[in-house]
Amino acid sequence: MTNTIVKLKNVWRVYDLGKVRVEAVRGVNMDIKKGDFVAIMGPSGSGKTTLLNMIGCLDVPSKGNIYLKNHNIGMMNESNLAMIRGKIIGFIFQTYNLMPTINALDNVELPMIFQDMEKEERMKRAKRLLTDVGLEKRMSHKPTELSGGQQQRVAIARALANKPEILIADEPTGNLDSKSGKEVMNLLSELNKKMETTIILVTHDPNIAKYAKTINIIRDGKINKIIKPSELKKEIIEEIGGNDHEK
Amino acid sequence: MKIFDLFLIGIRNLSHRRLRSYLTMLGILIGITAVVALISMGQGMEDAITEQFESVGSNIIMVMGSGGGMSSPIMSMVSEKPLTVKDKEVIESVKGVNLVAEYIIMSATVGFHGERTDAFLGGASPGPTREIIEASMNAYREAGRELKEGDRYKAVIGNNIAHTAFEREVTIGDKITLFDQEFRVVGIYKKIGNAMDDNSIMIPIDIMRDLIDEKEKISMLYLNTKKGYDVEKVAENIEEKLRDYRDEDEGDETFVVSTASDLIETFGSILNIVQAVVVGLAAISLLVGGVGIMNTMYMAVMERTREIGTMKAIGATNADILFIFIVESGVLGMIGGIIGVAIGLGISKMVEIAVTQFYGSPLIKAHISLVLVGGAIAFSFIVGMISGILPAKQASGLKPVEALRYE
Repeated sequence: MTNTIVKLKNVWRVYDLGKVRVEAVRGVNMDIKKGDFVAIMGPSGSGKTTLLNMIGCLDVPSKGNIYLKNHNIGMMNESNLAMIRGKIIGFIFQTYNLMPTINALDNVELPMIFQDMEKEERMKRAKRLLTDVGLEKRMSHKPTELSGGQQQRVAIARALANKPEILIADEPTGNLDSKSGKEVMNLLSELNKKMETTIILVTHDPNIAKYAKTINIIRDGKINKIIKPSELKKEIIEEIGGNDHEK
Repeated sequence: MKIFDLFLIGIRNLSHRRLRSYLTMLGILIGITAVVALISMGQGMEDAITEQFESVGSNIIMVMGSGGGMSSPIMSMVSEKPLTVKDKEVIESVKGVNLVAEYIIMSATVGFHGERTDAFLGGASPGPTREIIEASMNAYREAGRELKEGDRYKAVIGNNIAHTAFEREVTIGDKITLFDQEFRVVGIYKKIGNAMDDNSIMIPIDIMRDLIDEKEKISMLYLNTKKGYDVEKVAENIEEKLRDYRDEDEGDETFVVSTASDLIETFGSILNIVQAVVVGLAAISLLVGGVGIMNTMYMAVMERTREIGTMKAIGATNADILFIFIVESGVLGMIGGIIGVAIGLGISKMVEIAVTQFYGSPLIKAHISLVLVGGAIAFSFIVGMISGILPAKQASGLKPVEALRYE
């Protein structure tokens, strides 16, 4: 299919920890279309973050194939993976992961440096992005001078710096209060709608998962169910083991 | 373009370092300080000496007797076969030789207003040949006049004799006592910078020969060559002729012929030994400094593991990370180098000032060149970079997933 942007074929991720063999992801198949908004839900240790990391090219499968657009990432070396991460993917982390010593503007500029963009263009784009996420008055603030919600918005601006086709978000609201979490999710939905950016996020919060178009339930390293947000019933939520934030 | 930006990131990282990471560059700092101060002073000393010899005229040749392996003007008088006026005649016959000045020197007691002190008494014939001696001693007058023909019990005294040897200053017109004979001081030399010359007293050679009852022996011969003759060649000819006349074999001579360039060479080789020792010590210091930088870089990699993971997640390649950390390490070394250069040059400038104050003449001029400054800074940058290679490799080799998970 031409509009499939991410395709997983029998993907395994096995950790060999000496005597113990941990099968974190066990034969996952997945098809994500361009412009989709996918939530991956599952209990702790179900392998959802491992799966997300592989889609995000931070990790490679032990077995099976992952296709991002037309790239088979299992066959790639580290510098090609870095290129894909830089150009096609934008990352949003639970802990924001902003560079603590530089201000918001410089943080957003950073990914563009790695793509060798001109300074003037970089600054222009970084300012635009920060304005878009509502932080035009906070550009010269360091991460420690920003609230959690503001930091995550800087991180979203940074993730968008190189116009990625896929946004990868690992518990993006996990460290935020519900109001800030809502703001962040609204921002992501808007991106998904307006820019057709494909979003793949991991969460165990049903309220967050509801923003997605498709929800993949993962258990013991396998996709258990694929459902619509409207089908997110009580039994399923209990099965996942998370009605609200874990903390 | 990208390289420039990555360079800036490396520098930016440094500006957020704590004091303790700057302390690790102390080793580099000390090493560079030592090397820069040494080279600057050594080169300055060489410059000053070469300059002095050149101002005197590099056409001066010295001949002195060598006794028992020693060759100093004093020893040459008491050696088995001292130089005599006959040797002087032989030398005068060598082609290219212009004027030959005989000089006798010995230690003597000098009295002034009831005080007595030891001095070096030098006898030289007044007139043009005396100028050769004074020129090669680098002696200039501070006051009074020089010895002239017809002078008898007149003396020109060294700077220490005039100002420090006695409780009272000796001034022009004062009388000093040598061998129970009064001499009138007619001139005072400027400070020369070595104890022997500054404690010397110059009197007419005929008077000195009478006083010590010595008609033949000579401590030293100073001569200059005629224009157009190769000084080294003339020196060789003198050696040959003297050897024939004194019936000595090559290698077993009882005399030494030296030129200004010989002295510069001797001096240079002594300086080289000193330099080798200091450079060796500086190398150890630089090595320690390098290890210090390596250590602080390993710490930085550990502290910033998550940042490294994040940078990789947003598109940094291994090469980018490697470059950033090596730059950071190199610049850390370079900061040490820059401070080291500044301190090193400061030290040599201070030595220059101190020496000039003490001796009254600039024996050492701090030699400050772009090559030295640039070279030292570049070198410290390279030492820093090399020290950073292993930590930077560790940083660039981190797996993104693991680095991001690092607490």
